[in-house]
Amino acid sequence: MSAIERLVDFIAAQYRWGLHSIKLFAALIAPVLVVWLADWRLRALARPIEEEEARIAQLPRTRRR
Amino acid sequence: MYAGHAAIALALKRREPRLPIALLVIAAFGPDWAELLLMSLPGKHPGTAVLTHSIPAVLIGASLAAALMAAMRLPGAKIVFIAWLLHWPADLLTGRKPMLFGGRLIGLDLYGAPVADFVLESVVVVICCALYARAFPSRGDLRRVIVILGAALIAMQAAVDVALSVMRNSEWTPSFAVVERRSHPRTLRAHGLTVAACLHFAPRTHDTRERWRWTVHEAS
Repeated sequence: MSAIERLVDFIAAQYRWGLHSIKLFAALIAPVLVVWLADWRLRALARPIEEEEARIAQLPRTRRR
Repeated sequence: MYAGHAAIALALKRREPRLPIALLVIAAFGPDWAELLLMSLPGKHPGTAVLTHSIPAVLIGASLAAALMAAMRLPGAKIVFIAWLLHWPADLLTGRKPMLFGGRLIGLDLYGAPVADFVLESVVVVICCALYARAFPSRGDLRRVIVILGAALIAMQAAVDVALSVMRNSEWTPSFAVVERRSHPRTLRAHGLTVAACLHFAPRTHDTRERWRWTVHEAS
């Protein structure tokens, strides 16, 4: 096997390994991003409700309605 | 397990609301991240599963992650420990994992039966999303986001299972029992209906079907 063939084989092996690693990384990072995005959106939606509930809780009992 | 790990992290989030969800999901996938790190090292890596997915490795990884959280004074070190630890029983359902350093791999290997894997993981996602939803006020717009989250996780799982069914060219090989052992022929004869049911529900691979036919033939 010539030096050029060995070099081509080496590059092909590195390419396959790189592609495999990138696919695995994408598969692992995807659920993290999806869950983080949903959690961030939920917290943003829930914050005004929680603030309102906290404000109501501080009012005297007679004024809570 | 794939989407199921993220779902388990969602269910655990209720226990410690101050813990960032991204950290919790990373911990739930902890052994997989460790495996990816080992694989990214130069050279060949036979048996990385033993170093990342065996019971001692999972215990060590969970302890290290919890210790790191405690050292950084982040809340929820205990929850991170549990999330990392739950990776092993979850993977036991869908794959075949080592128990100790070396020895036989055990597990239900549902990756070999992608439809069953999809059903199981979807059920886990639905249950865990329902538990996660209880951490938020009961309102329509919040519920909608949680339903979208669950649907996204199930869609990701469907993509993985389709890829598995296309690429993986192997039969379903659960290994809780010794592979060589077969049921006694007389028992099979007495329960012909059970055999017929097993034959019907067995994964449609050539080898499994042939094995069942051979067993039924031997019994009769």
